[in-house]
Amino acid sequence: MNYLDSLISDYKKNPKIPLIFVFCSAILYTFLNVYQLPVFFIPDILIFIFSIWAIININQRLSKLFIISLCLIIYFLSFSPEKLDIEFNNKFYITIKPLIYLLLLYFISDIKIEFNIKKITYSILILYPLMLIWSITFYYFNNGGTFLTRPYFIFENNFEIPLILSCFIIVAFIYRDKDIRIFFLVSLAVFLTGSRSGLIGFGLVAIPYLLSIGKKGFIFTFSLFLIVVGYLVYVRGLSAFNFSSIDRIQTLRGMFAYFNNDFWEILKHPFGVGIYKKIPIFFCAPLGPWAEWFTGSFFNCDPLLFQSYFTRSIFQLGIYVTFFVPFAFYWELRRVMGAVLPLLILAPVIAVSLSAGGFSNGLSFIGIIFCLLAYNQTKRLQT
Amino acid sequence: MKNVTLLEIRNYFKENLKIIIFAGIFGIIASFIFCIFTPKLYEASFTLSLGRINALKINNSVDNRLDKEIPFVLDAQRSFKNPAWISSDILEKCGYTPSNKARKDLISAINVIRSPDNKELLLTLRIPGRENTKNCAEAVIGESLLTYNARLDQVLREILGDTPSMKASDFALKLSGLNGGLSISDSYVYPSFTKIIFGFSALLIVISLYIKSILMQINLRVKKSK
Repeated sequence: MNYLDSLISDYKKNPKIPLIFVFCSAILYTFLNVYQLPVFFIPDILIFIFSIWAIININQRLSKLFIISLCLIIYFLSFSPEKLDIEFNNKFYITIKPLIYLLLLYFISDIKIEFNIKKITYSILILYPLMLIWSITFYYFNNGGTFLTRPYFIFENNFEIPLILSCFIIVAFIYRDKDIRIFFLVSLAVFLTGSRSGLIGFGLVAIPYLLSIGKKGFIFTFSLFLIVVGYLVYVRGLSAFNFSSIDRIQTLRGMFAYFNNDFWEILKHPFGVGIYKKIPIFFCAPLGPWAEWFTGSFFNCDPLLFQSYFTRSIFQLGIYVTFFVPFAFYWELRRVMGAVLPLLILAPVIAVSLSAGGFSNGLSFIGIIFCLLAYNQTKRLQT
Repeated sequence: MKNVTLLEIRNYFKENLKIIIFAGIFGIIASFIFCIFTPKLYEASFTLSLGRINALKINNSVDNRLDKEIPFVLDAQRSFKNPAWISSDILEKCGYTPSNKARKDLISAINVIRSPDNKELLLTLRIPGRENTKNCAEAVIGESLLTYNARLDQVLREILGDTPSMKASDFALKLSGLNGGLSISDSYVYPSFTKIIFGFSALLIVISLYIKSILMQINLRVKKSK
């Protein structure tokens, strides 16, 4: 009997616990939705608490590259050019989060904490599609029968998808449980979210999965994958996949226009414009209504409006630091897990970085932490 | 490389406490000296909209074939990086003693961004002294608009010279102007005391500890080779 069957059998023997959990999750979603409470800080608080615990129990080699991360944080905080005096402050702590997470990674990459996350990862994979269905149902009855194309649980689904895909990577490649039902649950989650970057991440992770199961499994899972793609095209429309009309491509072009559409100009700004400068009003005007929604003012052009980690970071941190961060993540994870598994773990994060926070997203980093915990525990059990 | 534990981290900081304290104090003192002797820069920002010339047809509809900004936005943007453009009068209003070095200093204090539609330029100017910054910005605006509108007038005369059948009233002109107002910073924008003190001290501590670890490794290797 594999773990999923044993988990289901446990839930059947004791149905109260999973039912209470699902019920409480649904109540939480409803409560947060009705009262519009801020939740952005929750993943970072969890990461902070976990990091304290991990550093207290630290017992690993420390890579010297952490000094680069530390120096970059000090540089950007202290020596970034200032914004215009008449402009509002940026939410710059989000911009430097990738460097902070990288610094934390150096201290927790070979974590020795005994914390069984097997049940948590499987439960997340089962619970998340249920919450998306609840989100759609709740919205449907509260909005005159309108179908919600981008459901979510607590955060925006672009932030939640890397965590879900991390749980899938843990189950499929670390625990090596190739149960097709797990793939079905993940497909359902990506299917319901309607996220293009989620689809890219899912595709990248699905390829090695599809190659590692038998012919029958391949046909079934590949068909599932095609259904997900087809649904996304249907619900988002073909225009959402038209390269030039994708809003993230337009913001990338807008950012490029700041550098006079000259790639050499980007290279000449090794540390970008810094974390305090705003997007000049000329380039922000097309983003105006979004600026108003995000910052409360049409004229408050925080570079976070670029949304994508790559676009925002090239502008604020410079192209070298932007690509240093994923490389440094990979290099540190490679030290612990070998060359291949970190590529899988980072694939969903990089995919979401094309669209949203990615490396500055707390949930993505929690997913990476889960992968580290699962890997180190599995390795210890094997030895 | 051996494993690091919390106890070792604590011992590391304990052993290097003197370096941390001295580097930190030195960084703070150096930052204070830097901040005291660095001129306090104030900031002016303004947007210039470039003039445009359109030709009107006889029945008053606009013929856009002649529609162009005067001056060409790239020329306007580049002119702010030409020291020869800065007159002695502007230098004096900016608080500089007229000299070629002062021209180059002022040029480097000006930052120009052009709008994607090539119709506007956003300029920021950072120089010492609030009054100097205000007077300098006003002088730069005045000189720029004078130059641009003179150029617009010259282009119009050239077109009229080439097309005798047209009159000046056949053209729709938009003069170059100041878009919005002139914004002067409330206080100096550079240097920022707290950021420089934090940055200098933190970097000095990190670099000192790193140099010490390298020296210790060199020392160890020398001892081993002996």
